Amino acid sequence: MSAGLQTSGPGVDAFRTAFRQPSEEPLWLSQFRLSQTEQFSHSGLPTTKDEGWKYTSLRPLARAKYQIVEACEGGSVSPVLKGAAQAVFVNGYFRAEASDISGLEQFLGPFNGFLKEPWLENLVTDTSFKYQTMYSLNAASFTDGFALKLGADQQLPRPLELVFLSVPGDVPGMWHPRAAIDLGANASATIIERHLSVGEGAYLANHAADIRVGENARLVHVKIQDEGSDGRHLSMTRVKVGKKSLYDGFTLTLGGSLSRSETEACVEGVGAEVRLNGAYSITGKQHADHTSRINHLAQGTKSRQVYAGAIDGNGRGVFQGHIVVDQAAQQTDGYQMNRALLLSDTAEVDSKPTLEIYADDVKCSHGATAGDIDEDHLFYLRARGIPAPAARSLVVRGFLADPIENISDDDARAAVLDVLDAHLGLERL
Amino acid sequence: MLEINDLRVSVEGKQILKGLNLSVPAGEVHAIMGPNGAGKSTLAYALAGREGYEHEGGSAKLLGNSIIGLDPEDRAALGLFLAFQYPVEIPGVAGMTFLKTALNSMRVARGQEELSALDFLKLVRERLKSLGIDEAMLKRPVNVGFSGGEKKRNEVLQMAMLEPKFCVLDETDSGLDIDALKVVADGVNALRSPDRGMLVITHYQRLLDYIKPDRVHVLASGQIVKSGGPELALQLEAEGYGELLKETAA
Ligand SMILES: Nc1ncnc2c1ncn2[C@@H]1O[C@H](COP(=O)(O)OP(=O)(O)OP(=O)(O)O)[C@@H](O)[C@H]1O
Ligand SMILES: [Mg+2]
Repeated sequence: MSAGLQTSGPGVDAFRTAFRQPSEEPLWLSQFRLSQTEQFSHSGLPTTKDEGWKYTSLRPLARAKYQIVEACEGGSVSPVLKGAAQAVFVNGYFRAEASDISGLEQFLGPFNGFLKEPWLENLVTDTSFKYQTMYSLNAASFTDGFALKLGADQQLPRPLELVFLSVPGDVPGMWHPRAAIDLGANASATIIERHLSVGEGAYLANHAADIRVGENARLVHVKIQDEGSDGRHLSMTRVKVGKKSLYDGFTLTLGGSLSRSETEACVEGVGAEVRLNGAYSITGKQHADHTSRINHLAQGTKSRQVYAGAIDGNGRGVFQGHIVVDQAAQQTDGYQMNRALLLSDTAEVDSKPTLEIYADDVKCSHGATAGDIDEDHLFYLRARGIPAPAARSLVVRGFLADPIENISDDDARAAVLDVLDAHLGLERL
Repeated sequence: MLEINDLRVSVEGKQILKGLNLSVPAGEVHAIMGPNGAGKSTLAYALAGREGYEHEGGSAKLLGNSIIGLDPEDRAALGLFLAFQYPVEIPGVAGMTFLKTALNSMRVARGQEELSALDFLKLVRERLKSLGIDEAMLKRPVNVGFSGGEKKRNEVLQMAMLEPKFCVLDETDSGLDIDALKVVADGVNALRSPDRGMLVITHYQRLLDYIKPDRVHVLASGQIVKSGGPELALQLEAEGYGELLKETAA
């Protein structure tokens, strides 16, 4: 037994079969996989003692006996964005027959189709980010994923939906889809990620994404997670934003028994802006974690994070937002807020917004609120003949609409509202 | 149409309505006046079914149906409408969505078909026009940031849309400028009909110049202490409540 394996971290054994043996892959990728595999083997699954994991336990993952699965078929999904191109992935594999990316092939496609591109190598092997163990597990285990490259001044001719379908089978499956998105100077794109599942059954979807937004470029990146009740959804997104660029990220979390959407952003271009907004509506025993770390590294950068969550039943919401302002990042403007609406006595929320500031001329504020539904709101609606459940849904919608309003792309914003309305049983005018 | 007998209601353990009697026949408009804190809004809320308004005795019937113990939405479905003294702001819920949900909920409760988006829009535009309200207002969240007068107009708009059988208007005139008062009064008058009843709570005779009541009642200390014709309002305007309350206490 080698020295490396003796120090293996908690839960690692459960995932060994997932580690890919470097075979036909380019050298850089083999090396990358190797180092990430070592790192994960060393640190293992995070425990609640680890920094950033106090409120979310991944302990059950070690017992779930998830297996890597072969590529399988999966149905098509009608788009939420009118006229959008769709790239469909089933259990982590790209499904050409279910996708419609005609006219966009030059910009995007399955991850494995871009392995020889230097931009992809550069993006994936970037070491500016903090170590994150589930990201490493993804790196060690991914079979395929998605890649997009826009050169300078290019725009996506159509909005794009990435549909990640999970189709659980007889044994609990796991997939580790990977995405790489690179926008050159002045490029712009709107991408909606939809995470859905078909049928019942346990599975783990462990996503990782590397994103670079070039100078003056603009990326609207909306994620809608509406997976089944036995699904566990983890994602780690690493974003680098250049001078005067905008990364407008939004997450709508509705499904999954356990979900964590984590983003780390390096705001390294002067005057760049990062938005990480989100809304979640959970119930039963759902656990939804939204965690972020924003590193302000350059002057005059801005970050905005507004999350709103409606938590019912025994649901638990977690928000951890960490803003780091580097010494060089004077005139940073940072804001983060998590608002929770507790719809039952057993609903729970943990909010931990934190600031770490090394510059002296900055404007940063943060906050968190948690409260019950306002009975006066309900009464007013019910007095107009709206039955109690619909009245509740309307109030919840109103509460969650606030961060949604911040999505800078009109169509994407409307699509998110549509999905939320359907989830709440409300129809839109 | 509305029959209230010996109604007793308490709020947070304190009895506010202390054996209130009132009867409003179909087709009539009755006004309720009375000093601050007399229990006028308490009556309105108790009729609408607000939580925390404990029924301690007596009865309240709308069109022969007891409304005691019913949920607010069921009272609305029976045809009761309360124009709030303090309309509630509901962040994030667009006025249009709210109105459409309300109207269609009521239609479903009454066994009618839901209105199509198009028919709804037609109806709403008609009502907006007659009340002089800008459609843009309905794109905004319900009552949020509305001026006092706008909120009251919005109440009357809802009333005109939902076409209730019985309307309770709680100080709908307060906060309205002179022109708005006329518009609102016209809106209310347009709804007067032989099969609809109204209860208008107000402090001012001015409103009653526009909405001519059939009867005027004085509510003080949780009871109707005096009833009369429209001239009673004029008398109160001239004399205040002092004389009258002394009289009834005696
Ligand atoms: N939640 C409450 N807790 C305790 N007392 C209450 C509550 N709500 C109302 N009251 C009391 O009930 C009484 C009647 O109040 P109500 O609002 O019905 O008066 P009103 O006649 O409408 O007065 P106004 O003319 O000022 O609108 C007041 O003394 C008020 O303080
Ligand atoms: Mg009052």
